Amino acid sequence: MAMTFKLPALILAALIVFVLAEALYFLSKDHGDKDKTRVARALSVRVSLALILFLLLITGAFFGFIHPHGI
Amino acid sequence: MSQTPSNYFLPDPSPWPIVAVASVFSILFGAALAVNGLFPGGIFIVLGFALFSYLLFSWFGDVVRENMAGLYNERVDSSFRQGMIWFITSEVFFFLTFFGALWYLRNVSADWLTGKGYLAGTHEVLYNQFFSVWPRTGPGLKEEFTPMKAWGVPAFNTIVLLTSGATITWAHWGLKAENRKLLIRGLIATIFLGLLFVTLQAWEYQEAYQQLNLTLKSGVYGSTFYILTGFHGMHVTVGAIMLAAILGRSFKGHFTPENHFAFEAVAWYWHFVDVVWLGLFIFVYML
Amino acid sequence: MNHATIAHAHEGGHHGVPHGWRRWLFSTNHKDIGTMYLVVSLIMLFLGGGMAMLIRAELFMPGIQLLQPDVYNNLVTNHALIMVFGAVMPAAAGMANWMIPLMIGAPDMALPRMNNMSFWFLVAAALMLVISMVVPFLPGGGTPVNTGWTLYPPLSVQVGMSMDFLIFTVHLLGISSILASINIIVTILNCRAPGMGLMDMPIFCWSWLVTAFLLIVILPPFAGAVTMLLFDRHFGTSFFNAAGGGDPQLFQHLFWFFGHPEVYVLLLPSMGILGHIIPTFARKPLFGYQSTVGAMLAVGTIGLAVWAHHQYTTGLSLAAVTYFMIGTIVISIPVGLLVFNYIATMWRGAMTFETPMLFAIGIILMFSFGGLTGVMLATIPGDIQYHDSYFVVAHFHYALIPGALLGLYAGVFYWLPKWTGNMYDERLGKIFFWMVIIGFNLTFFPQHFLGLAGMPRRIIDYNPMFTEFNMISSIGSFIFGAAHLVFLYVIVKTVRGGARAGDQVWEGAKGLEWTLPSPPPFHTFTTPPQIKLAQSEA
Repeated sequence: MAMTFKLPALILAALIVFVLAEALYFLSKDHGDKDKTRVARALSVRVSLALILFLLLITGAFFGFIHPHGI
Repeated sequence: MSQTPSNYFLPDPSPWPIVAVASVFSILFGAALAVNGLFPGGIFIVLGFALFSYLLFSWFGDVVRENMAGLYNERVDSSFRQGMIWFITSEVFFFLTFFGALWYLRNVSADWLTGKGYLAGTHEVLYNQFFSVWPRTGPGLKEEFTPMKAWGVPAFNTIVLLTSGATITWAHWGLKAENRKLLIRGLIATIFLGLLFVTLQAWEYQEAYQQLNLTLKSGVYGSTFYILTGFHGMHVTVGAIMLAAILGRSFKGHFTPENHFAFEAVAWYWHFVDVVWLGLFIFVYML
Repeated sequence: MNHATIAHAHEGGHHGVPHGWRRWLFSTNHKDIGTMYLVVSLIMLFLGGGMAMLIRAELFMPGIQLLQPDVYNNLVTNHALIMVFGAVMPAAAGMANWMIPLMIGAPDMALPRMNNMSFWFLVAAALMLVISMVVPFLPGGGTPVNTGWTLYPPLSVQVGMSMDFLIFTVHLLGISSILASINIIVTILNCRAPGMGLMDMPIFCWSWLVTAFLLIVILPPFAGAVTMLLFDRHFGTSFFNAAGGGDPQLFQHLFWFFGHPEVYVLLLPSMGILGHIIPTFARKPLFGYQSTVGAMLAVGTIGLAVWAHHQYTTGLSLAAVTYFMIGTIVISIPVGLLVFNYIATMWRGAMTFETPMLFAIGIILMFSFGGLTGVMLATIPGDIQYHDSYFVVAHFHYALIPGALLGLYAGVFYWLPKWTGNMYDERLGKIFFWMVIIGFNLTFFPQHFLGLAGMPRRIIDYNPMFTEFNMISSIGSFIFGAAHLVFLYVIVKTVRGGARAGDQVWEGAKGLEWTLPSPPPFHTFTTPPQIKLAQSEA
């Protein structure tokens, strides 16, 4: 697997975990107050990042940067 | 909530904790009998699960009633929210155990079995025909199997779960905007996608057993594949059940933009399960 | 719904005390649940202690006298499991339940119903453990669990169905401890009285905060490991089977990732108790509160990363064992810091020597000795010599009996007057102390020599040349065992009556718990007390 491909994938994965953890932290801090939307916002970011990561994986496989086993 | 009590809520004595213990004990006792092929095992398991479901309704019913009666102040709310963080911490370490086992079996134990370093002599004598290329079994298992392909059901399942992450977020924003219709639609879509995921997963297992000869007995690949995807599938199922409970409460109009811990907790849990799946997709199916 | 009443902090409960069996089975009261924990732990202590007596009686002479080898190995296994999970952890959890809310001015544990659930999961686990011990005696019950508490495969894959019950025992214990830990952490972080910062907290709360965090991190891997074991046993997976590409070493790693921090789980609450007893009887504040807290945090975090020193002789790479050796020896620094802090607290103090203080001093001396043999065992070349010998048995009993068990005894004597409202019999307490000290050292000190001379552990028979030391050891253990009859008598006597204890049981004791009557009313601090001055200064 090419490093130029691997690195962004790793960074994305780490960001996803970080944003998810952040959402949990906000969940406990904000008490679901009406005017506070940090949890929902963080989770939205989480979904978007996951989508980007998935697209990246597909492109990677399509252009032959990664070779999933069993193919 | 019109007015929050200043005192920390102390519940009256409750039968549910001990009922919970009895039901779990019954399930595990039954399981211990069942794995040894002893007769009453299944009955204990079924009874345990029945008791457990009854218990969930009763205990959470109590909690919901107390919450709706406005007995919980800010601090009680904090206790629930912080408790959630530590529960999730234990969940994270539970999944890390199996990911760690996968890593260990693919790398460290591969080194041992292929005779790296001072083990070269042992390898020569014991397993000199064995080379480690993942996916693999071990030196003592000769049965052939085909590994699960990443581009097929797994990739489609990734899309399903990702979409469900989007729909639950949609519901979340709907709740925040006091748009109950959006909340309910989002929840229904999420539950549907969750069930679709579980169904596809079950179909994939069947396919693996019948077409690919990929079973629990297929060495370390089969072992790690099934234990990781299996525990994840269990979590998706539990998540879907919790979402269904949340949906029921949304119909009753329990959630307001300022009091919806149950929703937030379940939504977050769903995102967590989704991220675990991403990890599975990368480490189990692709790499 | 009877929540809304406002009660004065020191007044009795507005709920009224529930009566009959419901009070205990359905309890949501931290004091009642704490009491139940302590009672169960006492029962388990006698069960595990009885097993130890059987083991030592068997080892009194070479040859096979009383027991079958399989039964002997089963006793060795269950003695360890019962003492660790049944006696020490529940006792520490019981004290946490009783004391943490009183110390931080909380009305109860943060999640009272879950608190009760943790306790009953423990009882369920004990029941499951007893089933696993009984099953082999039934027709078709298979072999007893004879693996030792480490449950290493491949032996644990071959054991009969009692192993399955033991696996589910571990699951139940895991649920119990994780729920209890969540509750303790949330109580400490969320329910402190206004004005009490984290660094004003009594040291016992700090010790439990670290302990509870450790438990949440280490129990899921253990549960996962035994789950894999269950799959290997019944569903044909190959996690720990080299033929299928697995590795028995994987289990050892997972087990010790749990098992080593578990030592600190047993140790830290007792160290926390000493952090109260020594300042009380030296009539001086704790020397270096911050460094004690720091030492506990350091023990907890470094303790998570040194597990493989239990696996030196399994063929790990040199780089790996070297790392684990250095890490292990590094831990002696924060542990030393704890010990030095306690010694410095006594320096020039106005000391008196009531039973809890006697225990505290005994612990510091004997636990330090266990720590020294620990450093010996941590060095790789030394360990290759000592591994699996009685030297190891002597070492961990010197670490765990003073480090964990005696600390809890000290806690019992220190807080029993607060719990019951009655003073214990000081003379009997001292008799108990001296019997314990003499019996314990007589039991385990000779085992160092036996180990160095090459006597292996976990085997029913031994070479006749080891007879004398084994006899001494067995006699010591009988004294140690008999001491506990005195212990039981003191407890029962104190519970039933005795000189009345005032609020301030010990003249030098500081903290919120001593502002309450003895015994405290059913509900305490329903209105949070205001903390004016930092506790750390007190």
